[in-house]
Amino acid sequence: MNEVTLFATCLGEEFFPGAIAAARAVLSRLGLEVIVRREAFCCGQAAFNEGMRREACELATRFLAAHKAGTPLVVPSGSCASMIKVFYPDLLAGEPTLLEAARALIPWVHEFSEFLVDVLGVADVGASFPHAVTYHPSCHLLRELQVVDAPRKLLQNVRGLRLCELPRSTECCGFGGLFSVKFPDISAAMLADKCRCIEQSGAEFVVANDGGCLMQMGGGLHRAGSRVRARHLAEILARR
Amino acid sequence: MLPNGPEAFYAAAGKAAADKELNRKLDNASARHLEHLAAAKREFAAYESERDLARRIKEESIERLDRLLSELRQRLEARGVKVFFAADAAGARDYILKVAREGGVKRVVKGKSMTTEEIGLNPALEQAGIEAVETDLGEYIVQLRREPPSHIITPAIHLSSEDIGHLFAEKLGMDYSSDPPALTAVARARLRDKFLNAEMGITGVNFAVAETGTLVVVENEGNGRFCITAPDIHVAVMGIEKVIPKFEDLSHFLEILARTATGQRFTAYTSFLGAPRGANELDGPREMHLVILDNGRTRMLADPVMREALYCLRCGACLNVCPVYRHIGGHAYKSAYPGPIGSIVSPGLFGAAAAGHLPFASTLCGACREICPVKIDIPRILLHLRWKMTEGGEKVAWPQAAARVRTAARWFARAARYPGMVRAAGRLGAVLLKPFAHDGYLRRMPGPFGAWTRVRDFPAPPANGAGLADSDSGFVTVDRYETVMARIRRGLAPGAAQESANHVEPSPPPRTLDADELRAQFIAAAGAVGASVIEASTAAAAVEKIAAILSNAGADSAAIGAGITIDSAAVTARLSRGGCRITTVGGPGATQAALKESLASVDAGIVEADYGIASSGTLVMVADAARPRSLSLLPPINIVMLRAARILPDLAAVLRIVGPQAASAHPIVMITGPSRTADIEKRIVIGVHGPSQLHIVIVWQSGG
Repeated sequence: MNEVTLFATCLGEEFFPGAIAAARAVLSRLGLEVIVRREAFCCGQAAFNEGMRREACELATRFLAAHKAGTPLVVPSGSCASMIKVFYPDLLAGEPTLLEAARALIPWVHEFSEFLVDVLGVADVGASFPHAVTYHPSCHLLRELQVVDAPRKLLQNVRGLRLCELPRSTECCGFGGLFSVKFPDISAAMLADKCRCIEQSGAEFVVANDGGCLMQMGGGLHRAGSRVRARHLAEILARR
Repeated sequence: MLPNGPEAFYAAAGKAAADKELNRKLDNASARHLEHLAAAKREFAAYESERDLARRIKEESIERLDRLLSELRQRLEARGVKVFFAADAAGARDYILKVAREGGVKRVVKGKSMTTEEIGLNPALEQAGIEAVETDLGEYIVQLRREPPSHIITPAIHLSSEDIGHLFAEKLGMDYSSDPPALTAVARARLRDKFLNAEMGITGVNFAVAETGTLVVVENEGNGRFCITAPDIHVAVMGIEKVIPKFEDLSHFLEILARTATGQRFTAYTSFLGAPRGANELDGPREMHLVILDNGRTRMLADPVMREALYCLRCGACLNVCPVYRHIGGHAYKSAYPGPIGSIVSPGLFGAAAAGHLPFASTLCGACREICPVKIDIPRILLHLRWKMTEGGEKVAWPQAAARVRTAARWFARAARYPGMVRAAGRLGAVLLKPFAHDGYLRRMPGPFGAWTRVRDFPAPPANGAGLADSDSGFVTVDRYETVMARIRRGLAPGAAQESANHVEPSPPPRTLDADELRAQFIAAAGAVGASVIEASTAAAAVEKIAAILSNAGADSAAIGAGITIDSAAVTARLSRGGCRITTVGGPGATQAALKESLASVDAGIVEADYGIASSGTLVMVADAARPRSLSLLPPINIVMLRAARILPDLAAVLRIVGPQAASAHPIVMITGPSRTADIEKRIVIGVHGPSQLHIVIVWQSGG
């Protein structure tokens, strides 16, 4: 059995379908059969982070109905993956049946880069991308899931790719979900720092594994008139 | 300063976020702090295991809080310390005012204490006609500006040395200088007189040990020592969470606190106290009070998630790594506790209406948890509080724009239950927005998204379907990596990639060092913190060395403690020959007045340390009638004799030995280097209120 489920995520479906298609392509090339379950749209992270646990719980219920233990579930977003792996147990603490389903599913859930490197043991997916690229470690990926090296390993093995050092890389880009629109002034100040560091890196592309960071950094760079583009890791790995 | 709702926060944070200069100052200070911390971690292999131990002790302490507090109270009261439990801020303020009134207090000198900020003590003292003088350099600076501290341990972090130079020129009439040592010297001169002419000293408490009834005060400048030594009345103020069970537990906290807060091994001064002045002692407070404050802490305790917030050591590290704090500074929070730790404790201390918005002002990036010495899961507590403020019956008065965003989020979450519907809506939106997109981005969006496009562009949703078409259009599906199949099967087993998180190997016990190695280690460590160390083979040789130090420093006068283990008459005779006026203090028949008189103007104080700590170059002194505390504090030059045999490997070894003395309430001080501060731009300046020179004379020969 070499079947995996890919969770497209709500931001992925709405704003980065290219990244989802790319993730799917990368996984297919590795000989996996990739399934996307259309019954679930959102893991509930935005509602959970805003304190709206009733709404988040409804979404988690749908998510758990659509995704079962037994098939690896690949999530191309650090924050969605940590929502399921780290925060579902908190969210569902009062719902024994759902909690049990979540606990059973969690060991099968993997963030995209971690799945490739740590589960499949693949650091070279045969991609080629002759550009200067820098990597922004998304906070949830880094600090909730402790995925540190996998994305860099994958990028280092891309033909022609020059990996540029990002100054102050582990600092948050300022997205933070609804924080970005509830506290736009603070978010913008954080984003300005991040954009400056990205420019300093000398890269043509900034890569992250999270739709939120991509929206934030992409929008910030574009507004500032920068030539640097934000891309999902999968979009780089899918290029030949 | 107390938080007062979201509107004020929005106004202050918005203004501060646009202040590039403030951001630059905070970035510089934070970068310096992080460098110091990284260096401190590199040289201390046990940092991680000590962190885990410290956390475990806090967990256990909080679980037994009631018993520990009653033990602490009982021990302190048995020795004549007045212990007062305050339910709220007003209770604590009123008690302190009552003590001040009864003691005829006109001036209070204050050591750094965030708890007194929390209860708004200074305005209350001033209203009662009592002068309250902040003596920590950073606190002194912000008090001159009549503003609250903007950081837990670096109160003037929002000011540059130029800002402070202008402030001192205006308020203190000195010539303008932006040189941190020059500014520090002015503060020293101004405050010395205040210390010696204050009736009451007020300090915080870093740790309170139940077993021995000991309060521990940690500081660098010597101002804390002044506050607990010079005035006749000492009032210590602490939250209920500061108590720990055993004296030996202190080692785990003291090994990590300074390292995390400032990158130091230890702060210059760690004072242990547990009683008013003893019958024969010549200095120290005649009257000692401990105020133990609840003020919302028991609410936090009752909530199993919030409880963890009570483990906080108030090291301030989470502020320095917080990207939100670094952009808005401490004042925007309008709370005595700004930054991540403030956002979790302020709602508990000041209530939801005042501070319930603060847990939302975070991106949940987790940098705070990573740096926290006791690993408080701040993001999880923020999420918990957001929930309480949303569904838990506590309400935040959101400004209209934020309220609209929240409503939109709620409707999105509800709609997302029906994936087909949201996808259709998404496609429709994409089609409608397409004409407005340039280069894949939108410059302006309606409704709650307007806040987004005010500051950055919005990615235009691709209009050609949701992208989940089954084809890999644009990508070529070719070769399969057959070889990975075996790995897949192995890798797909649940849990395979899950191990090793958070497990910390206990560090191996350090190799036992012999006496020569201990001495060498001590000398290197003491030198690293700015002490000068000289070795002498005999007591007689030591006296010669001391004479040389005095003559090199140009000292005309010195005071020597009667408790020194060399024949003090011989020392006096030898040193007097060198032209130095020598006074012996603390001998039979000595009085407080005589002590004050002798120490008021001498250049040097000569004392003997009871122990040395090799790993940190720390001197440990137990005070008594023959060894007054002021002797190592007031004179600008401090000469300390240390017997080589008294050098112990580490803090834990010293704590084991001095524990019984702490239990019998002998005041103990640990001195690591000369007094210092980093309150101006985090630049280190040597010599604040305590001595600016520390000379250590190690004597090899045992006995007299």
